[in-house]
Amino acid sequence: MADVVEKLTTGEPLSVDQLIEYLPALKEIPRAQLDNWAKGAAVLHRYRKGEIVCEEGEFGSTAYYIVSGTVDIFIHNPLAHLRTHPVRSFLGRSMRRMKSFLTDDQTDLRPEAHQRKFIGIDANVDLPINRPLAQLGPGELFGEMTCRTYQPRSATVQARDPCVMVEMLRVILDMLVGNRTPSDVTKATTKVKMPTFKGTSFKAELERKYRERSLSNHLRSVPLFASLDDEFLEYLRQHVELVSCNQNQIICKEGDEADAFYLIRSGMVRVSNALPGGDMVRTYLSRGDYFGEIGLLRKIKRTATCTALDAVDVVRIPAADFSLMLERFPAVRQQIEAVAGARFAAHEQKTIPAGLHLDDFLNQGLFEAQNLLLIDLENCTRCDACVRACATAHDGVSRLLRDGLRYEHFLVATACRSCRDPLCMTQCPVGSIRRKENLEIIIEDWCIGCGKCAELCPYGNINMHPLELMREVKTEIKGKEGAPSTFKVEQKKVTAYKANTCDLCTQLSTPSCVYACPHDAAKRVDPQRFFGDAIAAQTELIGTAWSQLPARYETHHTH
Amino acid sequence: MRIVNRAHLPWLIFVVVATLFAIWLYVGNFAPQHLPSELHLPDSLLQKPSESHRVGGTPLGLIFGSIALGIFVFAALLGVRKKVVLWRIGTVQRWLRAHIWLTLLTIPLVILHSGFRLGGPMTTLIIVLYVIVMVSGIYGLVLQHYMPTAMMERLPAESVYEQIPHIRAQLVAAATKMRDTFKPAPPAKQDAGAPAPSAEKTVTTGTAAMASTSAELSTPTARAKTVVGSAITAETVALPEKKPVPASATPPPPKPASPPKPAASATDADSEAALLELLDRQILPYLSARRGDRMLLGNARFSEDTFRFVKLRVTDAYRDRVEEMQSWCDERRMLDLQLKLHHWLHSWLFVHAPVSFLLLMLVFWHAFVTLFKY
Repeated sequence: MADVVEKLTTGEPLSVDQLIEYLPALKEIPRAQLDNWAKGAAVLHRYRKGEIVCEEGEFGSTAYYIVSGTVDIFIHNPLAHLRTHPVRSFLGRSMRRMKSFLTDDQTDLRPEAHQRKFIGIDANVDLPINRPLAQLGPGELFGEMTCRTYQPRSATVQARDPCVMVEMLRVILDMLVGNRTPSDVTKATTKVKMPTFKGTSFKAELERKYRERSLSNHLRSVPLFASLDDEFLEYLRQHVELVSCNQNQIICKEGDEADAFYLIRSGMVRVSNALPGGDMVRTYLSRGDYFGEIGLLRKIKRTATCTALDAVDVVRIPAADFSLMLERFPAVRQQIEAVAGARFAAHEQKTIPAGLHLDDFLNQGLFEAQNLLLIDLENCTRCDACVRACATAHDGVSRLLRDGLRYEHFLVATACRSCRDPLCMTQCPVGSIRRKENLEIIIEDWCIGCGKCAELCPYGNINMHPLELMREVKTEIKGKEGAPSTFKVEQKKVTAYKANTCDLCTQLSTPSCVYACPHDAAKRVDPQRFFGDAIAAQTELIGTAWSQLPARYETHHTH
Repeated sequence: MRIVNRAHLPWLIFVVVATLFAIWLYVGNFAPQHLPSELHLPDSLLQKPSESHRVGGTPLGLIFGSIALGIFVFAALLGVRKKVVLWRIGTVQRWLRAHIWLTLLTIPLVILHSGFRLGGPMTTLIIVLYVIVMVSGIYGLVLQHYMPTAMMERLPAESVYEQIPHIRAQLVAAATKMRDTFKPAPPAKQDAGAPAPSAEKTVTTGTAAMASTSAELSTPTARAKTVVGSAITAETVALPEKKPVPASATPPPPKPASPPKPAASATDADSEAALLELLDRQILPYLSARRGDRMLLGNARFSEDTFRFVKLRVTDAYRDRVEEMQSWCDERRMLDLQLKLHHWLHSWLFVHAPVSFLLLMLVFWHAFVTLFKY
């Protein structure tokens, strides 16, 4: 209980009877269990108009249920991405310097930026991308994923009217919507033995609301389904299944028959392939993403295994309905085929070159990398020209560190590797960090700056870039002698953050670090091709001259 | 910059051809009798007899001198090019290659321009400075060819150069923290095998639990040890130094007055006393020293022997701490070695760059005076 008190430090503690009064569905839970588990696990909050309930990027462990009133749910952080551009000086193009600034997809359309219309958040609504604001009313629940997986809050919630809310810990949430079977690892590590809750009518009510109000939007938010007419959407709405998955549950397995198409409603799904040395993660998918189309389109078995990383809810479209949709809407078929083709091609690319020093190659995560900054230690004079160039190119903040582990005679510098298993993506509350089909990491405009990706990157390659912004801040002025409070609105300078990682200086022909190296030591390479070709060259040596070998090392630069 | 590289081949050919061409012009003009008749210069390349007796004053000499001056100016611009790294006017690597080979080409040009004579005091000074610049530059080139490989082999885990003082401070802090875990107390029984403890350095008979500091250290060695294939061996970290160790720099080492007692007979208090002594007299002074290589523990073999000896004198419970202390000293030795190699690799620039600047100024003055004052 001490733990409970720490987590719920504010609000009015609710007794079991009071809790049942606000959440009548809890009556379906046996009283003994309620007395045992629900005591002190929920508090009541009364919010005044304009008061902030929770802010995006904040860490938390609770969910909120709205008893009365409405709230605005929105994303504060500017919808933009960080871009570094050369600024021309009076001396012309060649003598330019670099400057970082925020820009949005309208003015700086990145070729593979997501064409989403909605941002998925930790609530039963999606936020329109052009104006990320929505309302939630009585009976709504938000913060479920934060409560279950401790991911940062995905959006800011502000009381639109005076509101009453119940803030609850996970045990109450489990009682209401049922708990998922924990994974074996969780079972082995957790000290508290939790009972199994099947859920109450509250869950069915939530699903009914989702099916009625959000599913259409959700389906429409997928670019593929944008061309479907209302009639067919209504048909899908009636026919799809809402499926809940436990942590580590396999949703579809590589080699199985393809029987459905899946759209992620909440949670994170890992897509992986089984290889002799273990699973290789291809990507992580979050709310709004979809999977399972390759098998259905090409009439082949599943090409990858999709596993629920945590508690995942998916919308399952059976194969028959999927085929019907493709038949009736050729535009949808065309789009799905394009995406499936790209995914299939990316899948085909992954092979391990024979002959590599596999121990180091795997232990240092080089197999996971697809774009490494290598420093040839036989050439490097430790002059740090690469670091200075990177700093000069990015407003004085270097995105690389000439430090790291060694592989053969190369130093693997600390700079984004575009990992094949991008752990940085696994806990983004708004799914703004994702990878392009070519597996390169991209941070979308709706990054809320919570820093979770930077924390998760095992190589310390993601930076949080601070930016000074002017923002409207409301300060409450309490009224004297019972007079109502007023709010003072003023513009204040605040620091917003955007995640960023090495951008490979894509606007330049060669990365600045490589260009500035006086000793031909810095190289940006695809490690598998780079080292793989060296191995191939060695095996060919019996029939060829030694002079061939260095040339192979020089071949595969990625930029 | 590794000079043995295919990318340098065109430059080598260019410099050799240009040198031969310059020599041919020189000999053809000033000593045609030494040339076989088929190699005599065509009339178009023969200059008219000059009023000046010095080669530098002749049109050909002036051409040699001007080209050399142009190369000097270009060579000096490399410094500017390195400062403005984002200019897309050729990679710095190409600039450096051109810098190296063109300045090598100035050797025959300057010699031919001077006509193999030093001349007056001014030109002698210029030649002296030129020799310093070229020798330091070639020396730097040789260092840059060999030292990176040597650093890679001798330093299994390098630190970022600027962070070395911070890592040193971390090591001192770790040693101080360990030292503070020993509680000083009135003298207890004297151990015949232990170094004579001073009044301040005695310990209680109790055993204070001593937290390992290794978890708080994030040094390159610590990181590298966690990686398969990058394990640090004693040979690579602890470099055996051949030169004699200065004995007067530190207090006498903790050599045994009598053969070491077996660990079984040592008590925890004895162990703590021995470790405290070692920390105060050897390790802390070594880790705090500005020049660690002058200390006894800076010698890998001495360090190895010392810690082996100390391990024999402490109980099993304290051996992990001894190993931790040894790892600090190994780390410090490696940092010292990195500093030394880094200084070797870059210190030649402190001669090369300023003397080059001075040379350039004097060459400009020389050109001005000879062209406009004579």
